[in-house]
Amino acid sequence: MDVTYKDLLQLIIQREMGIIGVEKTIDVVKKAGLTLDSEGKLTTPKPNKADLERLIQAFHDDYGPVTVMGCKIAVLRLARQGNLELPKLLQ
Amino acid sequence: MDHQLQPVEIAPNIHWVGYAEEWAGLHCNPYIIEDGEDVILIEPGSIPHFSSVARMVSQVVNPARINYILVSHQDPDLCASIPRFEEIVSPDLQIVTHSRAAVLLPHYGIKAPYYNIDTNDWKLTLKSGRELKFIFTPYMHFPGSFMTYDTKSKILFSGDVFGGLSFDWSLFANEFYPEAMKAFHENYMPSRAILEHSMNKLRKLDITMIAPQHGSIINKDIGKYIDTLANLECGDYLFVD
Repeated sequence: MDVTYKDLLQLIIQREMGIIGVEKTIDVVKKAGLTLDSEGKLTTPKPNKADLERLIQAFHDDYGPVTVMGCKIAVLRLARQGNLELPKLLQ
Repeated sequence: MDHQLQPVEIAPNIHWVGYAEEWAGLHCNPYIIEDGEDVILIEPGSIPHFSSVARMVSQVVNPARINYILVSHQDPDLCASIPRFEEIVSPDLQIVTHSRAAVLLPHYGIKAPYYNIDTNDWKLTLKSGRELKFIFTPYMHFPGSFMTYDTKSKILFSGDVFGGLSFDWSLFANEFYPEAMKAFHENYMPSRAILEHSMNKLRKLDITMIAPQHGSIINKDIGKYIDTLANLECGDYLFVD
């Protein structure tokens, strides 16, 4: 399976919309320097590990470790499929 | 803090008597079924929630009429307040649960006798003839876990299953609830095979509503939520090693 960092970021964004809500999630994504379209799809071109690290750190800093716990397992599984390296917070 | 102040009738004579607070990712969802002479309190919650839940219960029924408390397993967030409730409910109270939970529950100081579902044909027949059927959902996430299906309202009281991890709580599930649900189950359920085993049992039931102990009540697209859990990968500690 051809998994990219964009897939991981999109998974996290969608998951956090269920955990902390849409508005708060959009605020955090913007704070991390990433962009979304009106449907909540990531529009940042070719995000990388540094973008992933910045995003998950922003969720952790603003809304605590539950936001990491709530997506970590799914991210781990998807990253393994694509053999993608993860930031420490998601390992 | 964002406290829900009023009970909500989710079906005739069935009320949500829970407690919502902004800081908690796992919300407490106790329910009351009133059926003539019988009143069943489903999973009353933790000790810190006792006063709020008791107040909500009192708005629906006289607590002294509660003659059954039902708990799907022994976790403190579901049932640590039972000894406090014993002070205000009927002296004829029985605790409805699985025999494996009944071994552990007395450690909270519960004094009432147990109605063990696994030695009572997996059902409880109320005085009116109404039946509560118990669906065995082993290892989700306790060996003796079960769900309760009310044959009259067709509501499935699902305990921890179908619960959500969410700070954006609403009483009824919104479009993002499947994500909150996945977040909870990935962290608290042991494996996809175990989830799938129990979800296949639910497919045989005519369910109008799923009322979990945590998170939001599911009142539409029931099959979609069952499919979501049947296909969810969890059991991360085995996976990571």
